[in-house]
Amino acid sequence: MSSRQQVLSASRRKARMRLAVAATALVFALIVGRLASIQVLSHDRYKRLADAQHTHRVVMEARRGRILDRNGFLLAGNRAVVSFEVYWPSVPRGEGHLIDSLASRLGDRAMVGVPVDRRGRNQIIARNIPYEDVSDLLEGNLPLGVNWTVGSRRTYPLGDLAASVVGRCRDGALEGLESKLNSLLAGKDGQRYVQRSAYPGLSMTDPEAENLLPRDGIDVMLTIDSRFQCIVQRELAKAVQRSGSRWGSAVVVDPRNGDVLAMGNYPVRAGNGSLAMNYAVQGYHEPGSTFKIVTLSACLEEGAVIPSDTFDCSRGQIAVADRTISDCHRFGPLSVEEILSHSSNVGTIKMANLLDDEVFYCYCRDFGFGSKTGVELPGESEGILKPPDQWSGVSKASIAIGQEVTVTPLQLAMAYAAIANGGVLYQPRLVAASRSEEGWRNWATFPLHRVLSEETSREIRRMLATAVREGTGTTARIPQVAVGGKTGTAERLSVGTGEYLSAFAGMVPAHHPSVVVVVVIDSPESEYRFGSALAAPVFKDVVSSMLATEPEIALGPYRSTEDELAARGPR
Amino acid sequence: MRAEIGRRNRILLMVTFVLLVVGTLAVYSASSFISIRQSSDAGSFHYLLGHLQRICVGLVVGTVAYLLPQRTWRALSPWLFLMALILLASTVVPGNPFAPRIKGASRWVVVGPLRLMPSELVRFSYVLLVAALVSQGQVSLRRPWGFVSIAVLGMIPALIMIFQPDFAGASYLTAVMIVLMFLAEARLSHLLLLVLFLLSLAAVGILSSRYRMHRILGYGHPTEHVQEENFQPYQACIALGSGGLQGRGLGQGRQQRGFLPEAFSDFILAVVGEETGFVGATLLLSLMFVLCLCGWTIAADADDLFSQITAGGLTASIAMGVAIHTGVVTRLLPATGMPLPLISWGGTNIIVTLASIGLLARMGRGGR
Repeated sequence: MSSRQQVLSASRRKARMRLAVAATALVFALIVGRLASIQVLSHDRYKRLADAQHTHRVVMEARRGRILDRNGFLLAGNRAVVSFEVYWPSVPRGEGHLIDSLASRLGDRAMVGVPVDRRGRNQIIARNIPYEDVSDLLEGNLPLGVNWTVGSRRTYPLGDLAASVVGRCRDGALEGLESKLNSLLAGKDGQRYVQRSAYPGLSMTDPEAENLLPRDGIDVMLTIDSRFQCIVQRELAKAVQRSGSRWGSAVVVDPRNGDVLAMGNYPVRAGNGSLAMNYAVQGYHEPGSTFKIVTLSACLEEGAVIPSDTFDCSRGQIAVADRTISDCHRFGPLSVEEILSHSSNVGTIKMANLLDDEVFYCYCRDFGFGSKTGVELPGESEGILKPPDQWSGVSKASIAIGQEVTVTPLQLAMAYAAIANGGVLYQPRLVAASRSEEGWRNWATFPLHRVLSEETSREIRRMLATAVREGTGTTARIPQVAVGGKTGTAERLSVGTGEYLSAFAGMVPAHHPSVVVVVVIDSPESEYRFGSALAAPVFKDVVSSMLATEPEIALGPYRSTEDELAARGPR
Repeated sequence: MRAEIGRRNRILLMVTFVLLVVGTLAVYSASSFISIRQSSDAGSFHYLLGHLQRICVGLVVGTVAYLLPQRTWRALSPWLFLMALILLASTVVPGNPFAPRIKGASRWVVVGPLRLMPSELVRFSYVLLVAALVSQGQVSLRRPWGFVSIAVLGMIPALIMIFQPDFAGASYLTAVMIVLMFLAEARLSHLLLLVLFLLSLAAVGILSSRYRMHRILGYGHPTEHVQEENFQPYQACIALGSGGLQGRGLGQGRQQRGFLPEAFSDFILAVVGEETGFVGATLLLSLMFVLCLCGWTIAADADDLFSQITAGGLTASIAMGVAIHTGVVTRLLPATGMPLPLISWGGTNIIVTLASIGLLARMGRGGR
């Protein structure tokens, strides 16, 4: 190699080296530019994408408040349930049979067949299995790729007992108290932001995020006594089935404070398995003769009638406007007491005629008819009670005997409770107490207003006792215990179809009641249509069973000497 | 002059040291989660300890490289190349118990706890071999046959790598080969022909492999195939992008928790970029650039041809490693697995890079 060539070669190498340096600088500049574009210009977009895959909001379910009966029995509670899910990409190759065997261990409760038919990446294997059923499975090793989550599910340990009162909470659909008290029961779900890893099970709570603990729902204790509730539902079911009726409803109320001790309906469930109507507050009907105590109360309280008055029942017929209203029997002159105990329409109308329209209407309102009772249940009906300016010529006479007016079984029970407790109308109470963080807190009872004086109500209780002892209500008689009550037979609103409604409203013990029971059964077969034939025996069976369960009922609420004397009363 | 040379070597060594520290931190941050998840005995330190061990081995090897005179390297180079070639060839021998398939490719020679990547050794020894052949006047790249023989020497291992398969490694080696030939005065017309020939080969290679085809397709359509071919680069961009200008803070990266596969080796720049932001990533690249500049000036200032070509080839090798890694992470290149020199976890790479820097420092010292 000549020296000229060597010089040439060296300078060529230098030139090429410089080019290489320039190329290196160019490449680094390009990369830095690219980094700037990704990290600075597109930062927001990538940050969103990153947050989306890293941060995960987990809802922490609040425990729904429990519903207890007055004895502390659980009517609605929660149970831990487990759901299984498989994430197929995490299932190692050749371990699919482990998923199959899990599915077959879950048996009928698995939502997939065996062998498992793969669908998508995430597949639910089973949902809402009671925790205790699978706890052994969870303690062992689950196959790789299977995830499980614990949730909570509403349960009703006593089944359909008090179902129409308690209601149901299923998949977000609420009924009954579950709906009305939802704001108390629901509590508030918490939330937690989790920094996820790409591997299931390796995640951590982000301490800087807005994490909220759940606030559990409030437990409530009802005034319902499951023992009485059970009796009521059993007797109603028997009666409705035996008589071929459409529906039946019964309410048991403590007249001293308006507590609803039992509220039963039959059928409990509609044809499709969902809850049927709560007839006790929604099933309005014409009350028939049970309403006559309103007329009687008004007359006695106003002084229009005194107990010793007699009325000529004009052989069981009376002309009102263009109609003639008749009795079952051709009664002659009857005392006030006899009018009630024989349930004479004519006599009752004659008494009502002594009253001013407006006054009579006010008494109906004061007994709570034509307006909601305010019970803690959704969808309550107020019934129909027309004001006097809408009355026709027969309206007053019809209302006096419980027609042209509609009431709910609960309204009727509260009205009888007013007579039972000495004349004060109460708002029915379903919730006895609720439990907040400080402990159980009793809910107030609501006396609304006085309807009658003590004397008038005592007089009416005496007459009701007579009606059961010797009048139309003899089928409601219970040995050893004085029963007061009134039967009712109403032709259904659709007049002339031959459909009737059999009712009985009564109280035990008659002179100083500790319970009021109303039984209403709609459209029985015709042999059972009279209140005395169907509703009164149901009343008797219900009260007999209640007495067997809680004999103190027969003693009345409290017994002072004065009350003793009053109970004997002027005979 | 001597003072300046001394200063350049100090800069080279300091930059190397700083990069090793940065790399150690980055490897720990990127691997601790995976390490714990794999529940090794070392807790979160499993990969960190391995990395430190390799750095120690690399420092010893680098020191040896610094101490050996150039003529020893020149004499050793054919034997080194031959040994590397044999190791490389052994990986494609079917049924070789020392070359298991890892993630679908047999790129490693595994003997007990030792894991060696022959392709790294081949690249290193090829640079030395070419420098030796050219500097001793045995081959002249200006002549066609000289050109062809050097090219064939480089393409034999490249071909073996394709059978591993390691298409990226083969590309890397051929790229180093072309730069090396360019520096060693190959004729531009020859180089152009060679490049055209290689491109046509590459086209055939890509079209013949479904896997590579998908990688390239994924590169062309970044938003599609996100779950499959494009997953890694997509996640790398999320890491970089969410880091922003200043980053999320050391140890605060989220992508290495399983979202970014191979976070501590093939995608470590993404972790650095997420935790230290654009500022940190740019600083790191600047250090890399300073390292390369040192290499280039050493090559330019070297007294003998062997040193010039060796230094140039090794610098090109490091620079291209950086370029490929960052190119993949920033999605300028199709997805492939390439460690970032001096930073990534990856035994052979770090040892070979430290050996290269030892050699560079030797040549930067002047004398023979």
